[in-house]
Amino acid sequence: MKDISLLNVIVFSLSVLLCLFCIIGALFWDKKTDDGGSDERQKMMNGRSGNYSFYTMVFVNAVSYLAATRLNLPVDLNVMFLVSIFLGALSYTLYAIWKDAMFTKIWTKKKWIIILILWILLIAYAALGYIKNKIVDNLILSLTACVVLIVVMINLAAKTLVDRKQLKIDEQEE
Amino acid sequence: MKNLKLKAARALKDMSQEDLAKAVDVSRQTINAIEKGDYNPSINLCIALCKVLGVTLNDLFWEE
Repeated sequence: MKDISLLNVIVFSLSVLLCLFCIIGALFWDKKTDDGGSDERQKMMNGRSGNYSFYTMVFVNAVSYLAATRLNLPVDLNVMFLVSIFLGALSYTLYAIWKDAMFTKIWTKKKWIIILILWILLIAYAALGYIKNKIVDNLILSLTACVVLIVVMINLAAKTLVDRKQLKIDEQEE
Repeated sequence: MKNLKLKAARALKDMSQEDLAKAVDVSRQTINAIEKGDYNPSINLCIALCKVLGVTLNDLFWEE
């Protein structure tokens, strides 16, 4: 077992404090000004997305724990924990995209695409670091992020096409 | 169940889904979902829709 250094404990404690600070801040934030531009239906859908995201994380965690402990498969639980977060975020994003709850007045499609591009650049930088200097210990996380991004991109493109087609049908009906 | 009354009222005002969505401060997809009967709007949104379209709640949402 690895030694738990004081620095690790301090970093962990600070992370927990930061999380608590964010949660308390979010709870007391003025709800009227913090809707992110979503309308009532989008808020409802985002709530459902959150539930499915949580279930995904729990499911992936449970499967990886079982695989490691019962089946003795070579599964790195630390990595799988982070992978489960990625997959949870993916399920949230996909549900929100297909239920038209992703893009709002404030968080427009353009902003999301810029964020995705920045994320791709970050992953490319991490992958380069792995190849050249082995900055990144485990490439599985970078690969998972890549897969998540590709799936999000494909779904975004597919949803845009479906929306355009649907809009044409609606206009023809009128 | 489809809300054809909303669609008809919107067409009478010569508004697109996008126009109506902007007027009541929601997304176009939300208006589309209401018209298709996939989403039941809150009373606040119903009132906003009625005000913009110049009709009553009964005109839009009461089923005979």
